Amino acid sequence: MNKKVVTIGFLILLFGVSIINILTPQNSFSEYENRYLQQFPKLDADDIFSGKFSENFAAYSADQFIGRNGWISLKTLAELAILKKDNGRVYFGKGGTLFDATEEIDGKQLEKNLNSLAEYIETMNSQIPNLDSSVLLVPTSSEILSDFLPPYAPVPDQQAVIKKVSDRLNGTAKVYNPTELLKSHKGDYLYYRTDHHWTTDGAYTVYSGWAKEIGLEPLPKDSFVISQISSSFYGTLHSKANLFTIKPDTVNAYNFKDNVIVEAKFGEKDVRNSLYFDEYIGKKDVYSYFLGGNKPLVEITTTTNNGKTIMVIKDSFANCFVPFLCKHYEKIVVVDPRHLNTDYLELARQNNITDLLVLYNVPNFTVDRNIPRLAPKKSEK
Amino acid sequence: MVFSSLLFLFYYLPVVILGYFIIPKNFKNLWLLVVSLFFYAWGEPVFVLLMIGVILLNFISGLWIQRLKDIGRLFTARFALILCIILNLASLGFFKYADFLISNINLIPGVSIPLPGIALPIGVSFFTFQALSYTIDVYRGDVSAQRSPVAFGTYVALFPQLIAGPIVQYKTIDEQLTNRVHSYDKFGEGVRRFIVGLAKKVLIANTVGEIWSNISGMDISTLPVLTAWIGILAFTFQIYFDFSGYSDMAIGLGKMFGFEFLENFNYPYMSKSITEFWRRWHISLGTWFRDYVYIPLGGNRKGLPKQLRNILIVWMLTGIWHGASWNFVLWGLYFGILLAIEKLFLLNILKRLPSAISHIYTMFIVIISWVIFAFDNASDGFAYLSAMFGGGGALFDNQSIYLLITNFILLLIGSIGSTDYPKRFVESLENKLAKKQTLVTSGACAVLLGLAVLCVAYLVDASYNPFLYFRF
Repeated sequence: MNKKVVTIGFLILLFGVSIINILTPQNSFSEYENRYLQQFPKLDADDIFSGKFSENFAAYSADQFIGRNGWISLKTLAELAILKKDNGRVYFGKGGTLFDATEEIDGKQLEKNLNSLAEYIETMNSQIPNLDSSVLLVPTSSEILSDFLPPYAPVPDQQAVIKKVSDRLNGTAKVYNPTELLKSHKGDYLYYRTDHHWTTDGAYTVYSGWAKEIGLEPLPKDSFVISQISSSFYGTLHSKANLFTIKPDTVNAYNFKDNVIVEAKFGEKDVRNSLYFDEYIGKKDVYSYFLGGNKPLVEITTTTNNGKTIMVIKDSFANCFVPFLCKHYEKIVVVDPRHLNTDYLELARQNNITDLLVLYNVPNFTVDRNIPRLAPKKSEK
Repeated sequence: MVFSSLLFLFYYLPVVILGYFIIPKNFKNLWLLVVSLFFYAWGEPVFVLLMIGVILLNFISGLWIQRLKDIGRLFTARFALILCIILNLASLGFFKYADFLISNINLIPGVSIPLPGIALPIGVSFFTFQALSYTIDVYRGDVSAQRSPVAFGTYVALFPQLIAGPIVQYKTIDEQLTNRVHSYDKFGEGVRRFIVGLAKKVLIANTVGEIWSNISGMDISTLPVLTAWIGILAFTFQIYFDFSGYSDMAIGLGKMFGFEFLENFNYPYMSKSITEFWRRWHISLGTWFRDYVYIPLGGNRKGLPKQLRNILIVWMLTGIWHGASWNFVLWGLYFGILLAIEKLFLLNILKRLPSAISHIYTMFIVIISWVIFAFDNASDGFAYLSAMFGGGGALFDNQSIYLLITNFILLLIGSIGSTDYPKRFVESLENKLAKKQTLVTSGACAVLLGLAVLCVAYLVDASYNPFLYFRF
């Protein structure tokens, strides 16, 4: 081997990359990672002696590296080539389907959440006669689309959670398990391939099963106008994968043929006549089109004049589900305990609720630390 | 600073190389000293003073001892040496072992000394041992004292071997400090060595390291046998590729600047006995303890009982050198006892066994030793050992199968990469194509470039940190 060629080649690469890195303008934000990138750190004596400067500089050298996303894709491709099926963040499933590899069931938190929820609904039942309560825990894609998971990929047992919740709330609330229904539709486009959410079709499927279960007549699919709002959606799982060979998702919205929304109040100053936020079309976070993302409190008044009010306690899975409730309830109060710390009994009384729906995806119901906020304050029991 | 970072590769190294080759010959050592101090100060802005202190202590001691010897005051020279050793070991003891010592003294009922909570200066065990070897060699007359503080400072602080060795003995580079050759041949060979080392560290050690940290983070009490073995195999490869990759990078960088360091690893996982393993693993440390502890204690020249005692002392010290924790002492003793047993009779038996069996025996002993090494809490270590032999209940579960399928090729690459087969394959290929040098060169360049590109991709990915506030 000619060492002179190796030497010169090495030096050209070393200096070339280094000079290009210095000359390329800095990026301030990474859409993929949804965070601000480290800028060239300021020279500051305190920072230098505490070692903070060198930390920031190391971060700067990586964050501002030329062609950053391409390098990351290359690493992922190399790992897939040696039969790796995950990158610690996502599983690379069949047909470009991504799964969250960090999903977990937290048994202790589940215990706390379940106790708080049971106590809450029991107290409500004693104070509000004829309250109809239902709990809808939706399995994530790893449970329903297990055929698409890499073989033997370890995923949590979500059925055990639903069974536990169902046993504990027996006689307190209806617990609807949509697993069988979803599995019977698993050829449909139920979950995004690049995001951890279900699709609007998935939500519709479960809505029709749930409605029957609690004695409502579900609206047929043809009573909606279905419109595609995006065909280039790259969700959170894609951000965790960062692989350019993966195809984007399409996002659909179900619209009523007539106007059913009288008023939708998303905050003191944000009152609309739609549950959909057009401003998210074309943005990275397309899923926030539904209810505008995770708002602490949404109060919806519909044209359905039946005197029924439902309170929905939920995580983001409910965002594309809530619109289906509009023809069944005159008022819909949507609350997200992660962002709303309030007296939930008082909230229910103020709104004269007749129905309650608790909607979470299964893993999230076991890890969310805010569900205990529902528990009645001691003085109210 | 570490070699396996974008910061080192694309900011530090180009500046160092550029400066080194445009600066006149007489100032090259000064440049290396300055950039080495900067290299150390980058991560340890305060402890660089400690390193400068160690340099000055041994530089002055060397001159003093030399002077005393020259005027024939051998007894005072001996006193000077002992004083210097005590000061070196005291600083090492203070920075590395103070917390450990005090927390053990505190185990005595009624004693409760507050822990000083000293942070460990990076590389302190390496540069202290290097500096010590110099002073001892001056006393022994193996080398004469270095009169240039810059040359001596360069020897101790030289960034390629500063943080993780090899422990270069002064006598092996005495000549090179003042008179060394630079050539395309050496530089090109250094590039090859550096990239191979970088790939060992970044592509293998770091990735198998993730398997190990994943598995060692699981609940050990219910770990299936298969998972436990995948985990410890991953650690076995991690520690070898990390350490030997670092040595390769050090040797390669040394060559770029004209230095020739001795080899530090010689395919230790191919050994057929523990005795052989320790001749192939971290050679520079073994040599150091042999030259400065084992032989002065009498080595094997004072009868078997003394020899066995010396082996145990050396291996206990080797253990504690790796870290201030009882598991390292245990790890050293474990090897000391096995080496003693091999010396007594086992080695003779091993020689007569088929090599596959002595190889399996050696790797088994080594893998068990890594369990002791990996857990600084003995009860976790024993729990893990128990899991490896069925203490966790199941032989395997879905997760073990998944881990095996998805990491099989990586572990296979690790197994092949820790033998000398790849090296022999490349050499035979080069011999066959001896007449087609263009082909050999372009092939070598393509492989090295491919490895370098992959390393950069892995390093960039390591900083990938998606912040998903819109998670659920």
